Amino acid sequence: MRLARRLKNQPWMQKAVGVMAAEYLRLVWNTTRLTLEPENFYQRYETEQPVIVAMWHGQHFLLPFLRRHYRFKVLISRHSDGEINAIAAQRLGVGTVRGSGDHGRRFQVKGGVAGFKGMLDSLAEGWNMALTADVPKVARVAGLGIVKLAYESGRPIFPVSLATSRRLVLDNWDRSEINLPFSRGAIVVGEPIRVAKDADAQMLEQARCALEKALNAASERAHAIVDRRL
Amino acid sequence: MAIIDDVRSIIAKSLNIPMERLTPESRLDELGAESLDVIEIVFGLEEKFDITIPLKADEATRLASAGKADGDGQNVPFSTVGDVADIVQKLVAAKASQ
Repeated sequence: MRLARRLKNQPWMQKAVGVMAAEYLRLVWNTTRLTLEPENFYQRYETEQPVIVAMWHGQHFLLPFLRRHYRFKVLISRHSDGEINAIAAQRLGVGTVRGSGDHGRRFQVKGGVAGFKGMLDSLAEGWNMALTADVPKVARVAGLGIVKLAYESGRPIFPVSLATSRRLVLDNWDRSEINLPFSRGAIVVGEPIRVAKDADAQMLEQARCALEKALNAASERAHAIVDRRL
Repeated sequence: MAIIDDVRSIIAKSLNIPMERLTPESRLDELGAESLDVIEIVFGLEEKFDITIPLKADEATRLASAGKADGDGQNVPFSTVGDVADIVQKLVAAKASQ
């Protein structure tokens, strides 16, 4: 175990795993027959840029392929697994902002403050930002951070879910879905959620609840499409 | 009002606690500050003093010191109310000397 952990923290190993992960995801994407809902999402989205794309943890692996030719950055944790994700994202043409939120008081450890500022700066520079809405270790509960990002930046949040018919569901905290090749795929995008510049605490909480509901609905719909439960 | 009092006022407001509870030694995490509270504090300070608090992207536990503007690249912690006041003081002084 100790050897595995030590290997995982070696830069050359992280690079190798990151590159392999990126190429695996490319294979999955290229062999997936995709349904986009709504079909005109990209036309609508074109006029809204830059936007904040929200997803649930564990359903985000194919996220880099949503970007098409648009400029995208993704929020990735500073954890050693995050380093591998960052290498994979960069190989797939997505920029990164490092940091993550926390339900506790470990803001000094996780870089949430620097990450938040990095995302605000990126949105101001015209980058679209993609991030998971749930804070690590508490799956499917939207954090207030993403709502505050919309509030501070004035940019809309698009709730997005991406599912594939062939997948491995891991027994971990976020029930990570490892997408498999040769699948049916579905990307479901919910209505954008906007946060008013004069929003008070109650309105921020309402937006948070609306996002949580929209992400659950998008996730349910995407899985229903690929699992043919329509 | 001294900078330390403004800093205490902004922190107290963000954390919704009485200003009297805040001493220079008070640790933000022990006062219950979470990431979003610290973000609010940083934004509040930037607005109040018209400064930019430079957050280092690769160092979560520290903020780059005002001294960085002079090229020394030294880092200072952002853990206590006193730390925050020191950073603000240096940034305000650096701004005034420009």
